Amino acid sequence: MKIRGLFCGTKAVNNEEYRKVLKRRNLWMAALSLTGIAIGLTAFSAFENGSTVLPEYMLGVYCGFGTGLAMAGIFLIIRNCMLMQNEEKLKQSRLENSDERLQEIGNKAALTAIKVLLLAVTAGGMIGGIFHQILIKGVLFVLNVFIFSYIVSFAYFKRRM
Amino acid sequence: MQTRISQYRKERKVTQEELADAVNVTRQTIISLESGKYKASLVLAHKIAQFFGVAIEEMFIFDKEDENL
Repeated sequence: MKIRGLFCGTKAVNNEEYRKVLKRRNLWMAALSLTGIAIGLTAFSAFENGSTVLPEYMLGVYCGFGTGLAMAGIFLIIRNCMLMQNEEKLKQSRLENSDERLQEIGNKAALTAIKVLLLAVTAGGMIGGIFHQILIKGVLFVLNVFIFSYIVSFAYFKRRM
Repeated sequence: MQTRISQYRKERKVTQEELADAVNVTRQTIISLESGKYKASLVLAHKIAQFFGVAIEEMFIFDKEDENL
């Protein structure tokens, strides 16, 4: 089963328009990869030199996060370049990303994932907070950010629609 | 929602793939529309009706009971 990626929706109606969309996406991917490389290299050199007060575990996390970001960006750039060279696959990808039914399925899946995430985070914070208070503080921060961004974006889209 | 897409498609000897290409959706979306599993947006409904040269209400049968009206 093929799953349409998050943030992959497009309104391109032909391959030429979609090619432009992919080129623009590649620029973002390149920026993402460079950011990942910068994070990874900084963490790795700090680990090697021992010139930081950051815990070793966090340096490992930064290193892994940077490497993952860079690899994902490079992989998507290569995939997009290969797509752009094959008209048939480009058309198939365009239809999958612009199809309104698949977009609606993606929106519903994202909404379900948000509900599950909120439930898991809240339950995790409530239970984990018994043992480590910082967990419930983290959860409250996440919930506040979520509610605030929901209110702001709701007001924004209400004005636009 | 019931549609006459399948009926018109067969009358005009158009394949699901050809119709999907013409209205810029996947073949699976045409299958879902024909089976009534998915309701088309106004834009897609307009495109399909235009493809067959008929009015939207001729292609898509709006059932008041189904819509709780």
